[in-house]
Amino acid sequence: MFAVRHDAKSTFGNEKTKLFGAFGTKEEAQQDAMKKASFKRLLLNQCQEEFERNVRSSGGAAALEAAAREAKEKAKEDVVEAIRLAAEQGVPPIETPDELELEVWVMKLKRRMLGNVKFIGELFKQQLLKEKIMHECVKLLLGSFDDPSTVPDDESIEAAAKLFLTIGKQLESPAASRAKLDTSNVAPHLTHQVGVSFNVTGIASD
Amino acid sequence: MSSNQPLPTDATIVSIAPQDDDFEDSADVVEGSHQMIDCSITQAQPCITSKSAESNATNETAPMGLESDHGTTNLKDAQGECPSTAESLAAPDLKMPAAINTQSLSNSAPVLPRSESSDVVPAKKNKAAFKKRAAEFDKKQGRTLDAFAAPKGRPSEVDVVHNAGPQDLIIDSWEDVGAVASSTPSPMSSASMDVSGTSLAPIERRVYAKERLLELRSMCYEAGSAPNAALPSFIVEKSTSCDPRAGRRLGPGGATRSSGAGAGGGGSGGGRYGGSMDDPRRDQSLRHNGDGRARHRKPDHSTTDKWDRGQRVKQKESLNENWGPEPVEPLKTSVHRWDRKRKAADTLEVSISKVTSILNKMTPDNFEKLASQLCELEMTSSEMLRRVIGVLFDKAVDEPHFAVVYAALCARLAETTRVWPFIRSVKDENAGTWSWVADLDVDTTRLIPLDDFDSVEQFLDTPESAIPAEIGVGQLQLQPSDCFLKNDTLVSCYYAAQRPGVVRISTSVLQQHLLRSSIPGVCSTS
Repeated sequence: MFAVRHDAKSTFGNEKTKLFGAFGTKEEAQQDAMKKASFKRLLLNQCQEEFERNVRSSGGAAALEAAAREAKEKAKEDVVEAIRLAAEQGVPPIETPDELELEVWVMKLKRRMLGNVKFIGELFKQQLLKEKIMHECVKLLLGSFDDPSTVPDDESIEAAAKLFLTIGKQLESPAASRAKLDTSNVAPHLTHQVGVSFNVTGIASD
Repeated sequence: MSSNQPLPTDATIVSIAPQDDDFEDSADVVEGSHQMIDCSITQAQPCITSKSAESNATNETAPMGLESDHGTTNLKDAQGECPSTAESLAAPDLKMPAAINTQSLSNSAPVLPRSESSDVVPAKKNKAAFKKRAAEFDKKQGRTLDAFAAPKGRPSEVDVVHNAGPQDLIIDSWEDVGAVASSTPSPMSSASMDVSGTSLAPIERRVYAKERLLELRSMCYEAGSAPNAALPSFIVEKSTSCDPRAGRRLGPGGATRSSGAGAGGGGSGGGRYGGSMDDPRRDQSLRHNGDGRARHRKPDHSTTDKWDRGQRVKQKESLNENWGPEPVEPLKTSVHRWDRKRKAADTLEVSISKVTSILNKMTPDNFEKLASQLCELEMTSSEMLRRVIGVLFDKAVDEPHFAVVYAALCARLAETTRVWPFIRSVKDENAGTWSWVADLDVDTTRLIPLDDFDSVEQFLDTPESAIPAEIGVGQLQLQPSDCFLKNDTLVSCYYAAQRPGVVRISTSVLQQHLLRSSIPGVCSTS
């Protein structure tokens, strides 16, 4: 057996390395570590982050475009940063791909959003997510059902449709809760929306 | 097929035809007698003559199509032989009905010579005669072409112009008007230098002897004096005046450009220098250029007519390719080139690329195999775990059709929950509680051997001065174990996975390490 002796102050001085928790036994500490640094948790954190960002940026085409512009600016900044870093290191910068049009960014964002929603649905199918969370997601997408004045935008409806397409069968269980009924209630007023209503009503009444 | 032949090629042969070596060399005949012989051929050989007449007409009006080409070749053949030979050769043709001849002529425009004579003739009895004629024609053509293509033996030069038509004017304009000088018959009239022509009469001809031209050269460049730098190079002068072959080839080459101006590679040269014709020196350099090109074309004349055309077109292309080789920037080694060593140096990148490759291959069919591969992957740091999840998430989001597979994979990975190697349990000896820490950075080169966990407590209390000697990690396979924290001192313990029987050997290894570290100047860490 071997040991290394450090100065604890210098080791735990930085933000990255810090002690988590204080448990009575070693097993408890390990359980906590497994839980907090588990694959599932980190993955779901990422999904949630992405989903919430999408919901925030939803709100019609204008909001989506704004988000796309933001992403475009960020990509540009990344390129500038990469060039600066390369200059610092004294190497020529890596060739960057051509700048994409704003429409392309919008398309990419939308695709990514729908992909995320579908992935969440699939995770729910694999029972990595609970049904309660799915209902929360639907609520976030379609807005509060109690307030009919808030009308979800096209992108959100599309995402919700995608989600229902993915998890519709699972939600069909007898334990289907109030959220599903809410969805059925909201379907009629969704029909006033243009375009996607057919899809949504078809699935929501499922 | 033959009707698609390019115009310049036809025109080339047309202009070659009048260049008659034997005729010029053997007899100092004036132009008139030349024409007379043509007439006699015309009368004796209705077939050929009518064709040549037609070709002449075609030349005058619209010099295109194979017909004119063929006709002039015949004419050339006839001229290549002596008149009597032409007449004797024409004898079988006389037997043929004129109607057939005319018919063949009328039909023969787009047809090659041989096929013309065999295809068009309707009457069987005439077939033999036609075949014979065709054979003779081939023979004649081959001989004439051979004679034409082997110029070394004969110091001859060509400078003849007839077939009065627009082409003559073009030839003249290209070849320097002085070339077509009045006929000055000389027994040594071998190299007729169009370049050196001083006569101003465009229709007449003047032929200079080689010696005379050499004299001219010595007059221009006086012995002992360096050639004027402003003048064209000496080589140019030599190639046009002293080398009979060069001047000879000039004929076909120049004619090609004169008649084919504006089309193909030949035209490009002519067009480029077209404006500088008044300058004889520029003209000479141009001529030299033309010689270079004509030399490439030399083998054309030894082949058949048809083959000749195809080859010429091909060579024209190659000439165009060689015309201006653009300077190419030398290849440079990029800093960001793919480098196996550099890629392999970064273990994190290696792991990520491995995960990516597994995910790329992932399908429902080979899910089991690849998922187990991914589960076996060792997570060496929290950074790596985060990167792997990021890669997986991005992939799942970007490929919604495979989201099912990726979700199943996530479920599998989440099932096999374990304590990642980068997580260490830490016991706070003061409070007696356990905590955990991720990515504890430990300098494992400063190992201190300990007996067991019990001695850790003792070790923690040991003052700084009494710490035993450090050893390097050596070849030990360290397995991280718990850490102990007390009074700002952290001790991280490691197991060295060893079988009991190996312990003694490893201690000797340790002793070696200790010995080595005592040598001054050698790093104490391995």
